[in-house]
Amino acid sequence: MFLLLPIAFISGVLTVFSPCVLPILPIILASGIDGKIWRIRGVIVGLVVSFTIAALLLATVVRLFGIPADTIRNIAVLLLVLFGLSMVFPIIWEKTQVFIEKYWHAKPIQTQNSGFGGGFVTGVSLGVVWTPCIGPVVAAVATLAAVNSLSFASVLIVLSYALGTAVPLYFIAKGGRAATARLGFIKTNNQKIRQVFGVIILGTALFIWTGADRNLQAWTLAHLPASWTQLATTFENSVKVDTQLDQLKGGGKLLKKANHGETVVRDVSLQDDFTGAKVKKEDLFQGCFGGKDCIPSIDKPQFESVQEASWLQESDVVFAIDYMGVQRAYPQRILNWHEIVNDTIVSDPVAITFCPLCGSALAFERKVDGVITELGVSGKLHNSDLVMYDRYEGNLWQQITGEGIVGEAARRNEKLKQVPIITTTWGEWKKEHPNTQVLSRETGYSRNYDQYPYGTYEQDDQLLFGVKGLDKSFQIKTVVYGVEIDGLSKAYPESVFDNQKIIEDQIGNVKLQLEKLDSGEIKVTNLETQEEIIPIRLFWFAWAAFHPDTQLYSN
Amino acid sequence: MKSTKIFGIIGVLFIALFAISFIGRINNKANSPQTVLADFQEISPHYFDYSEGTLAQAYGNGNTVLFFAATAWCNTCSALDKELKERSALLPEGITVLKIDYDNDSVNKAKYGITQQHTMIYLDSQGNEIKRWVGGGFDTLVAQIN
Repeated sequence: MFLLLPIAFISGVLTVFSPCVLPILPIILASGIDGKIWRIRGVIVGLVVSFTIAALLLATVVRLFGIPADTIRNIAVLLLVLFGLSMVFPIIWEKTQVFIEKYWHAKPIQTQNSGFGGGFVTGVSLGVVWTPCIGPVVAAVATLAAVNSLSFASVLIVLSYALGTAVPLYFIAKGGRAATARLGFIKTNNQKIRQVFGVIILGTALFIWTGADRNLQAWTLAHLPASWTQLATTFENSVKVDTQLDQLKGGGKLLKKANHGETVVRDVSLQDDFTGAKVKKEDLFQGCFGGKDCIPSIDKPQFESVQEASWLQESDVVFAIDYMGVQRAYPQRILNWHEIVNDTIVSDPVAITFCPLCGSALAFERKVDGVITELGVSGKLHNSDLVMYDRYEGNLWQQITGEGIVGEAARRNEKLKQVPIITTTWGEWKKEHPNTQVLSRETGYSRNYDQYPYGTYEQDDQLLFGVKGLDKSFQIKTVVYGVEIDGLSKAYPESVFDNQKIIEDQIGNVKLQLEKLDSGEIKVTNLETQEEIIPIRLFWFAWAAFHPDTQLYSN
Repeated sequence: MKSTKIFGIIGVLFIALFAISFIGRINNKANSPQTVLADFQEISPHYFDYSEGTLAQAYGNGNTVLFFAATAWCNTCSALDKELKERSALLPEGITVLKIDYDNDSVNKAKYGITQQHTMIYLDSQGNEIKRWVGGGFDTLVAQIN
């Protein structure tokens, strides 16, 4: 990655020599027309900041809010027009200030008119409308941005590219300033001169809005030798960056296979090839920004005793495991902020997972294709449910079904092996298991575990993200126990256990018994085989989303 | 008046720029071949200008489809366009490359979430997106669809 940074930087410098720079050149040249060095700095800083953000987030914004990219571009052009107009007619700006003071009773920050603020606004607008042509390195980052899979590395690379373009642009602007200063008749800090700058901004905005800038670029491109216009690309192709780029782009195919039983935890990229995927690309939503691990899993869990866990209330929800004689409780208050705990219980690799938006807690064996690894939060959501990734191959996994949904695992039709886990209250659990261990708040992260991060989400009937075929036959966040047998599924509202401890029922031809134990566990037994079935406790909408043909129990 | 002079110079400059750009547009139009069938425009083997009819036919034949959001002002797009014209016959059977007009086709840009020139989107024969990437020449294209 570190080799890519200087390459992106130099590539940025070289880009300025291609026709791509033409649309923004007039404003850059004129930005120091009245001698104000701070306006130049404002334009350049604004350009770097907004170009970086646009390059990384435009695709995500378009996807999340459905605003066409062209609209965003037009808004930026409009901003340019408004700013240009206020420079030509200072009265507009003065009136705006009076308006703000009158209606918001707020005094606009009195800045010394260094020109930085105005320059910054101009630069920000330019950063959005400027779409330079890009060589392989930035193209790789653009690809990651287009598939909503951003990493810290991609932010750094785009920033270093933008900084690279900033250097020559800064000197071009200073050159323009020096040239205008030589023209004796231009007085610095003169109202008329600022109006000239305003006119140039307006002209540029018009130029961009009509698409004339693109025609000009196309014309220049056709009339200049390719060796000149392709400078940045040629440069990037001349340095061997393939391996580095492959690492950046990730993809399981490049990763070394491990043997069964080996432990592999590595910095993978999320798989983005939807061949053989179990979900459509457009059904995955970006739930949090910053790519994988935007919500950090707990990878080195610490535990404490019942006495030490006096911070827990009797009524606090815990997810509890009774595994080969070891009992562990994972408070929802902690899991709300981390969603995954990579634990080892009696030397077995187990991941405790919780999706706050679906209210679903499940535990899995942390093994992918037989290789022991860790699970993490991918940052993506499918039907509001947590999409996990593994740190062996970077496959995406659906939490509620445990199914590999994108990547090699999906093509292998792999499912994570479930480990029984129950959802109960701290009071009920510790009464039955006084020797239980409790996940400690010493997670290595500073989070307020006394606070629920999603407001009134658990009580209201709002969803934060889209769910396909939303089943509203029930209040969508009614808590149910979902049971699956031989491809048939049935949901049991939690409230049915208020009046009876034992329910006998049938799914398809299979008779089964559901029993509420004193620990709060709902024990489900197949009465024919006496096998235990692991039920999933979650919100109704989430169960219905992943089991569209589900039956619903009523007494 | 000195400032009038400056306004004058700027005005002339912009008019000149507009003139050049529109000459450029006319030139581009003149260079492009006349449309034979309004709805079916083969550029070279496997490589077509986008139209709904061409897309429907590709799906109808069970082909995978590769969208190429191209524009004349983007140097890497022009480079790939040139490579495709020379080498598209080397592409495997069953793939249709459709060139989308990045500047003017706002419908498809919105539909497929295209936010950047030189975006490539690979779809299976049911129209489900398999993958997308940005940039790259013919070799990258071949590596991606394999």
